[in-house]
Amino acid sequence: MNGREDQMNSSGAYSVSALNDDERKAFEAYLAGADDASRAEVAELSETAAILAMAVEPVTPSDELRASVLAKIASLPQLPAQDPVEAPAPESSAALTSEQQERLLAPAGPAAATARLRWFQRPVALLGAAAAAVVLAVSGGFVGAALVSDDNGLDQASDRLAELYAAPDAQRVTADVAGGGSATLVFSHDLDRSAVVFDGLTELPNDKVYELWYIDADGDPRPAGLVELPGTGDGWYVLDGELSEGDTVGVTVEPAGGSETPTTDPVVAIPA
Amino acid sequence: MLKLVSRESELYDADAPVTAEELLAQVANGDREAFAELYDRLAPRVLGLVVRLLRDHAQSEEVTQEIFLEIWQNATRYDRSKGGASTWILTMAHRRAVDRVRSAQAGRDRDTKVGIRDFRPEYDSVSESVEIRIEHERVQRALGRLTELQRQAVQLAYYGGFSHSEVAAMLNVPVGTVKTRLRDGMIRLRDELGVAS
Repeated sequence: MNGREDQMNSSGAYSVSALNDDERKAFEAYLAGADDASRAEVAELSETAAILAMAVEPVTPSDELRASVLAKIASLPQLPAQDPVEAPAPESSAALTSEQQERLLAPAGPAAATARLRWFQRPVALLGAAAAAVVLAVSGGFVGAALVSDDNGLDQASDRLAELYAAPDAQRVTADVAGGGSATLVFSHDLDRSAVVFDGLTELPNDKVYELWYIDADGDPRPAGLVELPGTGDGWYVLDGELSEGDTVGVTVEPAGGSETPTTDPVVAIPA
Repeated sequence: MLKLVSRESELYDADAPVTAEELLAQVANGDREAFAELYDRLAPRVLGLVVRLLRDHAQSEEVTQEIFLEIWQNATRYDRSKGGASTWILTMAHRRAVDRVRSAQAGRDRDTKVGIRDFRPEYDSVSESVEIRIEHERVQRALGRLTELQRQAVQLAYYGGFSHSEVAAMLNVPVGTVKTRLRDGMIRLRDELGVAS
C-alpha cells in the first residue's frame, strides 16, 4: 500500500476540502490508524484553514434564518455520542451525563494535551529570541501571541480572545501610552469582556510589571491581570474579571508581582 | 521572552462568559439555549464563509441552516481534544459549502478561467469590525509568505471551492503537484499564523 508520505501528501488538500468524496473517505480511513504526528498535522492544517475562514467578512443572517433553525432543532434528534478511542464508552443516550461532560470540560491530561491544538499557541521551546522576532515582525500592530506556563490557561485565554473578536458588538479604541507605544482596547459589553493589544510598549526593568485594571465609574480599581511583554513591547492580554458598564481600562507600572491597588498613575486609560 | 502572567482564580471565574467549547458541550446535552447562543456567536462567520463560496445569499442561508442543524445533531461527537469548537464548526461549514458549489456546478462545465486573483478573502475596507481587520491582515500577510503557486493553489481551493483536479487544470500542473503545493502552502501558513500543537 501507499506509504505514509504518499498518504500525507493529501493532508493539505484535505484541510481545504479539495479532495473528492472517495479520496476524502480514503484519507479519513488512513488517518484513523495513522501515527500521532500525522493526525497532529491534519488537525493543525484544519485549524489553519479555519483561520482562513476567520479572515472573511461576516454576513449577518436574516432573522428568519435564526427562527427557522431554532424551530427545527426543537424536533430534531441528536446523534448518539461516539466513543472517543481512548475513553470509556459513553452511555447510549444522546446526552452526555454530567460526569462525562465534566470530563470533557476538565483540563486535558498530558497525553491529550499533546494532541490538543489551540489558536495562537506556540510551543515554549520554539519561542527563542529568533523565533519571537519572526513571529512578532509579521505584525503590523497586532500580535496574537502570548504564553503561559499552563497550556490550558493559554487555551482559554486564546479562545476568550477569539470570541471577543467575534462578538457582534466588539469595539476597538486605540490610545497612546505614556512612555511610548500604543494600547488598543477591544471590548464587548455582550460578553462583559475586554482585551488589550499592546504595540511597542517600553520595556520595563525586571522588578516592574505592567498591571491592568478595571476602574469603575467611582474611580475604584479592580486588578485585571499582570502582563509581561517581550522586548518588542508587543502582545495581548484578555483581562481577568468582568467588564461592567461605565468601566475604564487602565494600565499602570507596578512592582514585580503586581499590586492590589495601583501605586502609580496609569500610563494609559481607555473608557469602554 | 513573551510571557503572560494570569490570576488563575479570576481567569477561571465561574461567572465568566462561557467559551464556544463549553457551549458546544451544553448543546451536546440538548441545551437549546446554549445552541441559540452558539448560533448568535458563529452564524455571521459561517454565513460569511458560505457566501464567499456560493455568492448567492438565499442559497447561502439555506446551506447555513443545514450546517447549524448538523452542528446540533453532531455536537455529541465533538471531541474537544482534537481542536477548538470554532475550528470544528468552520471546517464543517467549509465542507458543506464546497459540496454545494460542486453539486450546483456539476451539470455544467465549471469556468476555470476565472481570474485567480479574485480568490482572496473578501473584506470590506470600511469595516469597523476589528476582529476581521486583524484576522484579514494576519492572513494576507501570511499568504504573502507563500510562493506564488502555493498561494494560488490555497486560494483557489479554500476561497474558490475548487477541487485539486480543477486547480490542476487551472494552473496547468499535475494533480500530484497541486496536492504537494497545498500541503506545503498550508504548512507554511500554519507556521506563519502560529498554529502549533
